[in-house]
Amino acid sequence: MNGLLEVDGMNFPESLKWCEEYIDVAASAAGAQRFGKEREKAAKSLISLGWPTKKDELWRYTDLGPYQSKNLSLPVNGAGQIKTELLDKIPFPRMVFINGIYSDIHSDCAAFNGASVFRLGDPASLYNCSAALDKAFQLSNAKESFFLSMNGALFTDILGIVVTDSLERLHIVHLNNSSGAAILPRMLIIVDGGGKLGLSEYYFGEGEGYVFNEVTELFIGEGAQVELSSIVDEGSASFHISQIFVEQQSSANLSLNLLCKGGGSVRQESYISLEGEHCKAQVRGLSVMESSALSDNLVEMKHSKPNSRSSQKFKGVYSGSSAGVFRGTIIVEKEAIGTEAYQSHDSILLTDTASATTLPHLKIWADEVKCSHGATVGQLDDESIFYLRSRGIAEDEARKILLNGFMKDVLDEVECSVVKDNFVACKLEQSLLSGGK
Amino acid sequence: MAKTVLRIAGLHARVKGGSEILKGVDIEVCEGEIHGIMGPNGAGKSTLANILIGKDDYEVTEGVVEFLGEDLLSMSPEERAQKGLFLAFQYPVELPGVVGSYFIRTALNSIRKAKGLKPLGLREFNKMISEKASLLGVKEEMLKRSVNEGFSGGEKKRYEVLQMAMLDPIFAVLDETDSGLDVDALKVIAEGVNVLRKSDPRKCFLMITHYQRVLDLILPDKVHVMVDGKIVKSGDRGLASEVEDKGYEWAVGG
Ligand SMILES: Nc1ncnc2c1ncn2[C@@H]1O[C@H](COP(=O)(O)OP(=O)(O)OP(=O)(O)O)[C@@H](O)[C@H]1O
Ligand SMILES: [Mg+2]
Repeated sequence: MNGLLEVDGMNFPESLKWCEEYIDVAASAAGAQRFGKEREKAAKSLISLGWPTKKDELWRYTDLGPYQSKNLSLPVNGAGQIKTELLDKIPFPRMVFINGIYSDIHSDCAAFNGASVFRLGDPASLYNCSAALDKAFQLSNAKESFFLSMNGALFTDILGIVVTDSLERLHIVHLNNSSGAAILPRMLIIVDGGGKLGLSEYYFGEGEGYVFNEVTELFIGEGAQVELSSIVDEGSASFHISQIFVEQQSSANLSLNLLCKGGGSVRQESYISLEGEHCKAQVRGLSVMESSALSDNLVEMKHSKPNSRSSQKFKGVYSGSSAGVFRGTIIVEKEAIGTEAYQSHDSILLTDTASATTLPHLKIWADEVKCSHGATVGQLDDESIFYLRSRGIAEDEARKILLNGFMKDVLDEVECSVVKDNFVACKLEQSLLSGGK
Repeated sequence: MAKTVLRIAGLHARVKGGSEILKGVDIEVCEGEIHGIMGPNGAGKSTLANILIGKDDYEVTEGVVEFLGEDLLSMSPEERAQKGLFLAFQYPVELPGVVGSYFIRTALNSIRKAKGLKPLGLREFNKMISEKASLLGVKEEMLKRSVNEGFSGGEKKRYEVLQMAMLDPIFAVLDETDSGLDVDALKVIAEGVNVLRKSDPRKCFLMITHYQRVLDLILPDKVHVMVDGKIVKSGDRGLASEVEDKGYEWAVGG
């Protein structure tokens, strides 16, 4: 039996009718048969779960209505319309995906020493990577959710990165412009013991009503180090969800930096499981949102073994009627003594109609641990603005300086200057200042 | 006669929607003059300083303030600074994440821009600030830190003086910059004032203080005593020691 047959004739409800055509195409994509079972399981779960609604605690702040009532479609090849100037500042090695479809002409990712990059859809690239592919779905299978299932049922390709030694920096760019499409990339990253990986991800979009739904699985071996920084600047009427599942072995080190400066509804879920001792995991988020955008972050940090440290530090600047949500969970298993786990969420609201919400959740089963959480919400401080003005600095400039000051400690941790510069550039300044009035 | 730089006449002011704090203040400062203001806690000295630099917590109900012949009260705080007014705050605020040298350079270049001057390049600026910082005992390392964050009381005061020296105002108000400072640090303030005067002897200073010792180092031309929002006595520098000996009661009575 092949993958195609297993999902054939599956009965999708009205709100997911579009999946019927989609799944046929996806299941017959190159290499797809290998994951037929996973696809079938995900499709079943997709049907039984159905679209989440605002009654669902985890989706209280998100309006999925516009997407639910839509017949989402397979992405069109948007290469003709792509604004390639977005790529000008992003160096090589890089991989570019346009509406989730790999764009050979914009990418250059020649052979690496100490790392290999492959795609399920490119049989030639799979040489030697078969064993790595066995790990796909291992981490994501631990959870079940609508969007996870949507990706599992309908993904058309898997991008794989295996680092045996070191890959200093790889840039992965997603350019989205296919209105009404469901774009469903999937990534599998394995960094072997002692390896080192720097990864930068860019999500640039325009166009209306598309859903971008990415699932990433990241295995970090003993003593390995990963720095992953991403920047989201999606279309203003789009739904973006990225879910990353991380497993860290002893002494593994993760620095995950999630920057967001635009989109309609942006949801970032990070599930990190510290499976060894002396791990370090730092997740930071920085969102600058305007108009009616939503930045919804969820982190689940699980300490299973003793003596690991983790921190979740999220910051946001909200103008217009935009909103920020941070749901941070810390789980410390009974065995995980000597754990240190911190989280914080600090927000600046530039308008009365903007909002910020913090939903911390601590589940601590071990003794002798250090855990803390905290949240602040405020405006730009008038005294501080006055101090700067009294030194000759114009009011708009003063606000900008203070906001940059607020964001500094998160930005300082982003290793990739391309991501950092992109975040700080252009748009940001304008929206900050006008939003503050 | 020397030209008037700052003229405060019949100034009444209150906290917005609150009670009156300044109840008739008259002070005239001419080119090259140093004035001292003394007075008990709560007299309104900082309020006067804040009104001069343009804090909008207060409203002026009566009186005028002219700076170099122009109506000061109609200007924004940044305009006042750009025109050459400076206030060393009694309680400087902390600016988390705002790196000191960047802040001072932005301020300096904003003022230069308003004067029609080209911005100072990074190298020139660095040279200038390290010279002044070492003269005023501000550690270079402090310039890389966030403005005032985690600074000691004395360090904050020195930092205000450094900003003054860098921004090179025509008229500087120092609001209790001497309070809580040791003798060495007091000399730093005197040094800061002297540096500016050397560059242009027409520069003016208004020293708000509780102590005569700073006025012994920076010899004022005039001393005013403020009690309950009014200048109750003005005189030469001898007044400072008299006030310190006899107390403010005496100043009010006499
Ligand atoms: N923004 C404000 N809101 C309410 N009251 C104020 C405000 N600013 C000043 N005041 C009040 O005005 C009075 C004068 O305060 P001010 O700070 O000017 O005194 P000062 O002479 O500088 O005293 P000190 O020597 O203690 O520094 C005080 O009673 C103070 O509480
Ligand atoms: Mg005072």
